[in-house]
Amino acid sequence: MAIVINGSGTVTGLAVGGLPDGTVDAGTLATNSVDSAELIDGAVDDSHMASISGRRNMIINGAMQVAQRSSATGLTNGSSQIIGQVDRWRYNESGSPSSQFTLSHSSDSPNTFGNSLAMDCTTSGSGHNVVELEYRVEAQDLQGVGYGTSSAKQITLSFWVKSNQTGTGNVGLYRLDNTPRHAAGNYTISSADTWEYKTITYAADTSQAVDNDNGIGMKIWFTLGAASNYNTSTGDGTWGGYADGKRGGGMTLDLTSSTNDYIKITGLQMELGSTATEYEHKSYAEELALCQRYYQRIEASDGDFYVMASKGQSTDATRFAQTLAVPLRASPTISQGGGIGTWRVFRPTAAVITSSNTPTTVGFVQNAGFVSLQINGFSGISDNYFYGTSPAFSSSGYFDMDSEL
Amino acid sequence: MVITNAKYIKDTKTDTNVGVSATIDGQLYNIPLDTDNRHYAEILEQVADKKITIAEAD
Repeated sequence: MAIVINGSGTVTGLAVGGLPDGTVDAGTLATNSVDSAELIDGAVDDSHMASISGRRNMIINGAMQVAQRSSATGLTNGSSQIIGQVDRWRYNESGSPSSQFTLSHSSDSPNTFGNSLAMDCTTSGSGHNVVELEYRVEAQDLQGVGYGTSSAKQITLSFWVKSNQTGTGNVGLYRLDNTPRHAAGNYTISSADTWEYKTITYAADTSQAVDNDNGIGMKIWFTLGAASNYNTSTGDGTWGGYADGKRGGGMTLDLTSSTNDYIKITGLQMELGSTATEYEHKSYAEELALCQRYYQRIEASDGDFYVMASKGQSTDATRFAQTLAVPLRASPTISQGGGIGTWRVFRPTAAVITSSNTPTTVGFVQNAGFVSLQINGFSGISDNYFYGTSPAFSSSGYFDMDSEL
Repeated sequence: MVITNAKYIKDTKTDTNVGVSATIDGQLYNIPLDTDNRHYAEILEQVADKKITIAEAD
C-alpha cells in the first residue's frame, strides 16, 4: 500500500509492518521530533521499559548469590530467627514445632540463575503455628511505595520455586510501623521437583505509613507449614490488620510432614506496579556490598594476618577501629568461631600477650567506615599506651559483625 | 531465639557496662547496648517477659 502524505502533513495508508527495519534512524528523526507531546501517558507500557529501567528490585540477594555464613549448620526447633547460610534470609517459627530443618545455599537453580536458597525438612513434626522463611526489608527502602498516603502503589512479587510437593503456598507481607498491616498472597506449584516461575500482586495500601528509618519496614513470610487456625482465609493480596489466619491462608502445601519435604527459592523480586518484569540481575560485588550493610565476616588464613593500631584501656583491654567493607546498618553484635584461637597484642618493649575473649562494640557511628571494638581479658596492658592488636586466626577462623534487621 | 547466660560486660576503666555477653542458640555473642541491635532488642524483650535476667559483670 502506498504511503500518502496529505497537505496537513498527516501520514495515512501505513500498514502494520509497513516501515521496514532501518527506515527510521537518527537521520530521519530530527532533534526533538519525538517529545513529550507525542509520547502521551501509556504510549509505551511497562513491559517495554523493563530492560532499560534500573533498580526495580527492592530485595537484596534475591538471586541467593551471597552466602557469607558458609559454616552455618542445621536449624533445630526453637532456633527461630536463625539466619542460615544465605545472606538476609532466616528461619522463623511460632508455636512449639517438633519438625527440624536445614537452610542451605544450593547450586540447584533455573537456567538464568546460579544459586537458590534450600530449606529441607530433616525431622517431620507438628506443634507449630507456622514455619516460615523470612526476609526483612529496611524501612527507609520502602518509601517509594508510598504506604499510608494517597499515592500508595501496588507491588508485585516474583520468584522461582521448586518443591517435592504440589499445591498452594502462601507469601505474607507484614508491616510493623504504627498500626501493623498484613497482606497475604497465594501461588500454586503445579509440578513436583520442577522449577516454576510465580508472581503475586499486592494491593496499594493508603493506611499506615512506614517510618523513614533503619528499622524493619516489612517482613516477607514464605509460609511452609501452618496449623489449621493459621489457615482460615485466602491470600487475596489485600491489606488489613494482622490476622493469624492469613499466615497460612489458602495453603495446601505442608513442608513439615516428611523428611522428603523441601523447598527451593530464587530470583525473588519485589517491584512497584502490577506487572512482574524480568529479574534484575546485579553483579556479585554489588550484591555482596548490599548484604554487608547487615553482616560482615572477617576471615583470614594465617595468624597475625593483620594488625590494628590500638590503645590500652585500663590494664586488661585494648580498643581499636575495625575497618568495615561498607557502613553497617546499626551497632553490631560480635561473635567468633572456626578455631579463631586468640587475639594478640604486640607491645613495643615486651612480649606478646593474648586473650581468648570475643570483642565488644563500644563505638558506632552511622555511615562511618569503621566500628570501635574493645577486647578484654589481657594481662599487662597500660592505660592509654599504644599497642598493635591482631586476630590470631587459625586456617578456618573468623569473626562476625552482625547488624541484621 | 534461645538466650542463656546473659551477663553484662564491663569496661574496667570507666566502671560502666559496655555490652552483654550471651549464648544465643548455642553461639556466644557480645552484644552492644543499642536498641537498634536485634539481639539487644530481643534480650530486653525477654527480660521484660521475665524469661531471662542479665547477670552483673564479673
